[in-house]
Amino acid sequence: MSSASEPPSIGKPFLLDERTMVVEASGELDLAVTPQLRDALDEAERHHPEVLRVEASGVGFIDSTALGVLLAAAHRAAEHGGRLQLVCGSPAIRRVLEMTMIDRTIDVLP
Amino acid sequence: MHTPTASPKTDLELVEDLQQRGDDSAREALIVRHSRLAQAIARRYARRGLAYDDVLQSGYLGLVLAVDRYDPSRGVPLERYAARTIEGEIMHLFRDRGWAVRVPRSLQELSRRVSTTREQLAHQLGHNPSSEELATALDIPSEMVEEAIQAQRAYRSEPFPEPGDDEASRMPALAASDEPGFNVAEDRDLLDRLLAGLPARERRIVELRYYHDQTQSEIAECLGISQMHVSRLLRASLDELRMAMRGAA
Repeated sequence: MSSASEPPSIGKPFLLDERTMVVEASGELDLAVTPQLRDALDEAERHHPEVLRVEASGVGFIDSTALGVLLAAAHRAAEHGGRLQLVCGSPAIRRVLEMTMIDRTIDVLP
Repeated sequence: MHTPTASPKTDLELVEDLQQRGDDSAREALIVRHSRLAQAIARRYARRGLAYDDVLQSGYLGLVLAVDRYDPSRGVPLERYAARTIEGEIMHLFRDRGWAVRVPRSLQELSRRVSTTREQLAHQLGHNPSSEELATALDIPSEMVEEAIQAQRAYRSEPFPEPGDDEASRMPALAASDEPGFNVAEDRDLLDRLLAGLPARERRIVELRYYHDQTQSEIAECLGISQMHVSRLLRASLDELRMAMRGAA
């Protein structure tokens, strides 16, 4: 939880290129920001992007609820032949994603 | 001679490390320690028609949830709490893959109209329409909009969307009928168990609304409270149920 001091925020989804929508997240992704995360993903999904990327390089902790939201978005993306990418710099989060096999559904990028 | 190693930390000590000090390694240790529980429960459910790995993934998510949310002061051992959240997540998966909670037909239709209108309005207005804007566009009270949205969120996938329908075309091809051994009745008792976690009056309201198809006004009369009050309680109960389905009972 290295980024405890940084207030959590979820950015407005934007189009990176013609196939990629990006949602930027910072701070700790916990229960308090889950609604914003869900809304941002919902909005991004409306464009049916091939790749939905959650940019969370600076995020130090992802709570189980936020993990659930990401996983659900990944499942929905897969239904349309898309992928959810999670850009994640924290080794601790990456280990949890591996342990829980979530990294089989979400592409975890360094 | 090697140095004497401390005996492994108890669940309670690890939970404290995690929750008080944000110790990520405690979180991992707890997940590893109880992963067999998730596997055992996943095996039990996997026989009902979904791939074991998918069920297990949901089970693990439930385990992380238990580790993150566990409150030792309630006096329930972590393992027992985790069993519940693991089951909750697995149930959530079944529901997502076509397990149907009975939602009144009229509400299903309203939900679809609301989501179609929402998309249209979002286009026109350039922002996500509020409940009030939706209510005006649909010419219905905003409580009904709220209820439709709540129902849609709580029961995200409807069992048999109609082909050609806008909302339906965005739905996954639901595989309920491809799942031999998948038994709705069996999973009904899981829902009943979740319902049992609600306060008596809220439970009654949900049952009257969704099992007996009563209107909010009828329920209000039956319970001797205002329709607005029913609406609020219903909304809160659905939120609660949704959380419970996600395991955070």
